[in-house]
Amino acid sequence: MDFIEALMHYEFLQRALIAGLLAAVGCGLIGTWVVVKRISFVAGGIAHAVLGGMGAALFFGFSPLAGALAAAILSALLIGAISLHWQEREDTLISAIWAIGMAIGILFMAATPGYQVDLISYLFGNILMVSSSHLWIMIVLDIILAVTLFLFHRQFEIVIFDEEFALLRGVPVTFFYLLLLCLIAVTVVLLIQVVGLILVIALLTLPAAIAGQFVHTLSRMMIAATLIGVLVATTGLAVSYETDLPTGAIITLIAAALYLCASLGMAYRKKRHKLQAVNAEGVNHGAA
Amino acid sequence: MSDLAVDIHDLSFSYDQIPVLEHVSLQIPEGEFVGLVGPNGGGKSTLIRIILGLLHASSGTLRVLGAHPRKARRKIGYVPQYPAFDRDFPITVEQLVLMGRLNGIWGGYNAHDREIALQAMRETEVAGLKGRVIGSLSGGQLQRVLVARALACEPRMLLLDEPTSNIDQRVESEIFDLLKQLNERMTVIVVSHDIAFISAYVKRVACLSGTLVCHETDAISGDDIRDLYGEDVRQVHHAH
Repeated sequence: MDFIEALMHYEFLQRALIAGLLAAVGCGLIGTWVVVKRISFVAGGIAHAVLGGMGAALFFGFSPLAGALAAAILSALLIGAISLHWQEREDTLISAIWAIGMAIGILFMAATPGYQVDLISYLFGNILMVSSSHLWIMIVLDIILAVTLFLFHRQFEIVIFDEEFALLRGVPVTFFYLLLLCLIAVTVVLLIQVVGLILVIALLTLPAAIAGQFVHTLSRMMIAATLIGVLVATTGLAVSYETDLPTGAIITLIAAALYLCASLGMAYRKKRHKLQAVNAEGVNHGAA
Repeated sequence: MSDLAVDIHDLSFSYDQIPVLEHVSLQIPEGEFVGLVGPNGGGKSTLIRIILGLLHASSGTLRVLGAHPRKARRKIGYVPQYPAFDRDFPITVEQLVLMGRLNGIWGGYNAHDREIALQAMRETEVAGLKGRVIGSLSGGQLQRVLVARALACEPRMLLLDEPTSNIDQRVESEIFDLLKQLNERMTVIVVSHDIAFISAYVKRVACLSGTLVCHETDAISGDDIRDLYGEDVRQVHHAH
């Protein structure tokens, strides 16, 4: 096994694998809520607006990651306010923020003097360039996600399931909706280095959507989605190493292929159940 | 100290300057079983939301269980109109019922909460379904689960918005038998568009058609009902 051997020898590959696993945790924990609440478009808006923050950070000489985090939180709150107050214009406004964020990012990058940053690696990720300090940041972000969910799991559940009932139980719906969008923002930042901001949506939704076909509670979905994410990230890294193709794209396509298989498998199973039920009924009628 | 569960005086509500409720007055003593009926668009659900403190009246006064609606709402067990949520949501019966135990920003569920939830599920005869996903339940089962969630709040008053709009008549009777039983220890208010059906169960009927409320069952004449619905419905008689 070439990949396993290389993994033993090359530190950058080890870091890449760890980064993939840390990203899988984030997309499993938060992707579940994105899928169940059906807000992947909102998550897409947050992800793309992040480029504006990264561009600005580069221009003003901050760390792009800090810029990404700030921009992600800002766009999460902005998009949250939109979906709470201008619901009838929600998709138009989110698309606008989506595009405006990217436009601002490109302008700042063009205006940044000296060495030109690699725009492609922001857009599509570059898991092989992950530094160990970046890994530490990812660990901290994962811990923030896990602790927040551990503390407020029930509140998120009731707010997403039944807002009205949540209000009656004294749960502040707006606060928890915005907090959830901020957690999505943190996850986007986690995933940027791994798959880039264009492909973030794939990792944020596909593992959870696959998990949702097999398990039927939120906590199990989070665990299953994390495990599927781990599988996808690891095989994706291995395949891209062996074939020398871009990792982010390979990871995305593996996740998509798994989703397709799971959906087809489920559809087939349902159909067979139905057929069996019809057959059984036929037999009963025959007996009568 | 008031023993009125709901005390509404001259209440009006407009939605985008379109009046929905005008000069509504209604007193419901504690322990009553009241049916709130009226045609579609008559403002029934709006009134329920105002009682729950989810909407605010433009004018008039309102006391619920002797307090401001926002204060009273945690003592109310609310059963929303049938498709108020996504039925594919990945959640079990027990988890849904436990939502009635949630209180404020902090906290999950302890053993005491689980015991109360189980008790509520036993009372509505859904304890055997507690591990099932809600998507796999029949309409009648889901309705019982929602009543169990309302009971898990340990309410002084139950408020149900069209609890039987999507289930067949036999199951509907079962649900109302259950409500009658619960009425022995708490106030029950049921919204319905089906006056004929609920009149066999409730003690009083309040008719809401946008601008007026007439309660006192015996005072409703056949003409009133014809005016409300434009058709004949069974006349209501109660001895109590």
